[in-house]
Amino acid sequence: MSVTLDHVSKKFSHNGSSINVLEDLNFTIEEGEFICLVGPSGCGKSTLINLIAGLERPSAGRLLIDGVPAAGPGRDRVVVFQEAALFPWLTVRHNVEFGLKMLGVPAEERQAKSAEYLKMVHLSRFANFYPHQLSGGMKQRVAIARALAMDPKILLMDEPFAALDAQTRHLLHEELLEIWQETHKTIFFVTHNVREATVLGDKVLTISARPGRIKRGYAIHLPRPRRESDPHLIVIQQRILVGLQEEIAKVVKDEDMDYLVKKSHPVDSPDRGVGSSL
Amino acid sequence: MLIGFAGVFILGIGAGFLLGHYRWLDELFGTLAMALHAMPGAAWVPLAILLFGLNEAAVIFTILLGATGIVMVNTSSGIKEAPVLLIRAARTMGARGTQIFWHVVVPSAIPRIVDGLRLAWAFGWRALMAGELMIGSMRGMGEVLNRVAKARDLYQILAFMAIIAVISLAVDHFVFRRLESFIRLRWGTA
Repeated sequence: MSVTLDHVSKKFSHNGSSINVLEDLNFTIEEGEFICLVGPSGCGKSTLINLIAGLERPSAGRLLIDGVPAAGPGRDRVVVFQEAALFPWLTVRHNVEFGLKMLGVPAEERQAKSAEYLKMVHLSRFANFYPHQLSGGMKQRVAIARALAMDPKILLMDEPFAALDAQTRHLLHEELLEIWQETHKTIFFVTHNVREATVLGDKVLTISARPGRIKRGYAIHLPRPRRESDPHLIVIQQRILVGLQEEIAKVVKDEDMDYLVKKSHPVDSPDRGVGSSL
Repeated sequence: MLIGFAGVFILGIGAGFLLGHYRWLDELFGTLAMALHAMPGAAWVPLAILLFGLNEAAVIFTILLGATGIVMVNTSSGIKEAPVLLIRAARTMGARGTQIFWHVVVPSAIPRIVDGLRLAWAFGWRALMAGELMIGSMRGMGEVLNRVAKARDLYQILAFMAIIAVISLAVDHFVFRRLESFIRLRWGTA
């Protein structure tokens, strides 16, 4: 399944004034691709996920699923949210089965599915736990299993690992890549973390600060699993960061934090020449 | 009391669902529900006697009006406060209107609803006593209390008051506390 954004814009109006959140987005997510979208906070990344998921409608332009305009949310496009968004009153297993139950899938089949996907995220032992008894990383894995149980064509991930510590995130990256290679799902992954994006994606798109426009695309042809410290990756990360720098500066200015910029060092400037004069 | 409380349960939760779900209903009757909730149960007794006479129906009416308000207010706010994120998650998994209401919105409101029921028990118990004391022509705790009061027997009065308190506490402890701690465990709310 391919998802195409055709001149998609999104405005929010608030107290009579309207804010352009996303402006004229044009890109296609091809079947089987793992695309990461990186951008500063507040640039409309979550809004974009909601648009593709059908939770919100574009103010202008069209969203095409396999060339057909999309109407509303559909279970071919399931979202994994930053906060796992599990139902606290259901056990892990029943959370995974939720969508299937809504579809009217018989109990036995549901149970087989939930067992399969809980095994895939290595949480079989926790099937009868309640969400509040799990760690943040485990909750996120349940959310991934729950999304996969719907057998979506595309997995939309909205900063799913942003709230996790570095080690857990690293483990979940590996797990997600395994799942991706096993299931051949299309994944659209939104993050503010450039390293995360380069470790995971086939393609990294950068988005500008408000109004959000696609700035550039970077193809990453490195074999997986990739190490964050891989020098090739670091070169790409630097390029992406430099491109994003001016966007981050815009956000900073927007939010009256200019004073921070003067004090901080340009850590990500390309010409610091680290190691070049050895 | 049981009939009265069953009525409170059905009416309170039912009306709370409606008020929580339909904003226009809430705008129309929300203040009314608050007013109902603010009214002391005993204040309904004269009206109850006027409408139903000196009988059990009047007592049930008193309980109903004395305790429904709090259930309504709590249920409707529980419904209104259902987390948007969970609703969105359900929608992306293909759940539709009524499914979302029964499988997401209502379960997320359960802790608030149980809170409301627990308070309603206390309010209803008070309304029951007030009703029985004032109506006084039927068999019941209030009537007995009235009788011993007329006999000016201090010890019996105190003993009956103690019984009334103990019954109320016992129900609170054995029914509602347990229900609440079960829900806390399930919902993971502190």
